[in-house]
Amino acid sequence: MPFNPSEISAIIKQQIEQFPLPAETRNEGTIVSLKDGIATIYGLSNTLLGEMLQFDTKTYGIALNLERDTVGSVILGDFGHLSEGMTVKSTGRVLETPIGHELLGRIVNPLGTPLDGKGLINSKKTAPVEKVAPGVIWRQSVDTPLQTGLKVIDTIVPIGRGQRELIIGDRQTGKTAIIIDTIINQKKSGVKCIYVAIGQKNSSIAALVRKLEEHDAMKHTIIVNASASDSAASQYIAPYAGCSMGEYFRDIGENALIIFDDLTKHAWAYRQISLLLRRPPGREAYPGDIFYLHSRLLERAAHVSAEYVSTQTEGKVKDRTGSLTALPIVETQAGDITAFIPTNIISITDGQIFLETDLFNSGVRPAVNIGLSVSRVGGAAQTSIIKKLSGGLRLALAQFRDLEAFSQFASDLDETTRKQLEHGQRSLEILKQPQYAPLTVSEMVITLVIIEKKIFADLPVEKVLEFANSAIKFMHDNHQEILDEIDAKPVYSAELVDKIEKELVKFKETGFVV
Amino acid sequence: MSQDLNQARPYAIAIFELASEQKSLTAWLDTISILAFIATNPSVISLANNPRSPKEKLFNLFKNTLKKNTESVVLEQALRLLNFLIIKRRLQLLPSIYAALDNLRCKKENLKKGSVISAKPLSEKQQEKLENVLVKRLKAKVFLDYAVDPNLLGGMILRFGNDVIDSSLQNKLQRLANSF
Repeated sequence: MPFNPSEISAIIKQQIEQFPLPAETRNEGTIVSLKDGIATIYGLSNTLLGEMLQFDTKTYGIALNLERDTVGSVILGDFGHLSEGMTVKSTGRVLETPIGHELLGRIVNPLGTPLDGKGLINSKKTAPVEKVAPGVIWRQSVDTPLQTGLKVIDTIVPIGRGQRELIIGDRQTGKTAIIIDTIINQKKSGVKCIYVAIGQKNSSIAALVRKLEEHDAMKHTIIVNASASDSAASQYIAPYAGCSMGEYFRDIGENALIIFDDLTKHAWAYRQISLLLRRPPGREAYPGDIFYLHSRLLERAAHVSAEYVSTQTEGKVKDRTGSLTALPIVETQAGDITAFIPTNIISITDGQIFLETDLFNSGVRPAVNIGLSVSRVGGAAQTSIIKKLSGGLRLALAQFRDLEAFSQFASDLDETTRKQLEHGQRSLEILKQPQYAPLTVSEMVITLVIIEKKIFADLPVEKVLEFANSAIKFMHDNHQEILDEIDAKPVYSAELVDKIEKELVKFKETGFVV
Repeated sequence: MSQDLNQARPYAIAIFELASEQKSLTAWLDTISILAFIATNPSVISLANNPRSPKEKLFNLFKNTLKKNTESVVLEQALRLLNFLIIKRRLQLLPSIYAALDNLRCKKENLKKGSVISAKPLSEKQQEKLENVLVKRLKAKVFLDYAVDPNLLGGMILRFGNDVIDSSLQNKLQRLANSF
């Protein structure tokens, strides 16, 4: 579009004329010491805790320590150009981040600056990074499931919308794989996903984004990235910023899912900041408020009532509840879940999914340790058909764990015990699932009917999974109407289950070649 | 600086209480300002920091100047304070003690000290007008320090402690530039 230079001049003239220029009143201080991204500032007597401080036109910091004469501040971003004696201004604002639907499909840093080269984000709204979680009266109990599409999770450790479920395990046990599958599975559910990467390699993030794009799952996802090369301050605020972005969806009556990958590195970043701010170190050199650091973050995940949504939207949205589900990830060292940060977060969350290296290496993937994994509130949120059908599975696996030690004496065991062992082995086998292949509720029901009705009892263990997959395909090809019925109304009925059983038995006898 | 102020505050409070009892605050302020002036001299600093230099030498250096310039009311106590500071190796606190003491005095007398930086020197009439406005606004006596900085281009910067009112043209242009 051609521009006339005089037009441009006119626009600039207008802007200059309209620019409000009252005298600026500000509170000032002077940098007295500057090291490792931490500035001690003399003055700034009216600063608020957590207030943004302006070092120069582009450099900002957060006030974290308020002392008698000085303010301890952590600098966001590069600080190489700052020096002692420079003036620091207070801004009167606490740290804010952009929020809104415009962020979906984008990769941003904690302050909302795009990192994906797709241009500016025109979000009109901002929200403080640190917000207080909704109070008791605004909350509702968890009642809707958040389908991960993973058999082992949705049946044994189900997650409800608004729940906080920890995913814990050593490195290379498939923690992020579970997350990717969960995000992919939200394509049709309308749940918005926010993936917060804390202290990770940029290459891992790039690989994750590529995978999500391949599966068309970036459209409903925001990636907040504070990578290993970003400052500790940036890593420290990343989960809070991501949470504010998620709360936007919760507060307008939508459902959102936030993933913190991972909170161990977040605790490390906070430990670094705290030690440099000369706060007293406690256990494992973490500061005294390390529990509060994570508890206040995870408390923001909630299932809020329709009244809350109505007040937040000033009456524009009515009769709709909102939810923010949190899936924090914690990386353990050598399977030690009794370390400081893992125990803290286990006690904060509503359950954990424990992944084990041994299981992973022996081919059980997702490598979920069923004995140590638990979901404290998810059961209430399960759809009735899955709840009813998975009850038996849970019991069978518990019995199997008890008897597992005897499995090497298989020939000497009595009939009942041997049957229980075999059923357990087959059940475990059928719960294996490849990556990027989340199942729908109806597909999961078929798998559960196979287990519950022991249709696989006469198949060799190594053929069980193959049978389940072919059975799902068979049902899609021949009885799509049954699957559609379940997906539309996932309610248990004995006739429905009998019908599926009959079809599956028929398929096993006629269509499946061992 | 900030750490010094923390350490200096108890000394300042002690001196302030003593001076208030004796009604000799001005004399004390003068004395401490002289001591602070000497203590910031580089050769005095190196002497004070040298562990081999005898403490008496340092004490006498201050004592001679003090005797000439200090009112007799506070001299004896000032020398005791000096001795104490030398033994505790805290001579470097003297400027901060002066600042803290001055703060206490300002608070007691409801006096606000500030500074004005303007692009051009202010006429006496302008200064008077400014001070009158500030007295009304701050509800306190005002003491202003005037300075000139042509870089401001126009307007002025008013500073009271950490609070700054900036109506300089330089600042306005800078804000306009940042807005684009």
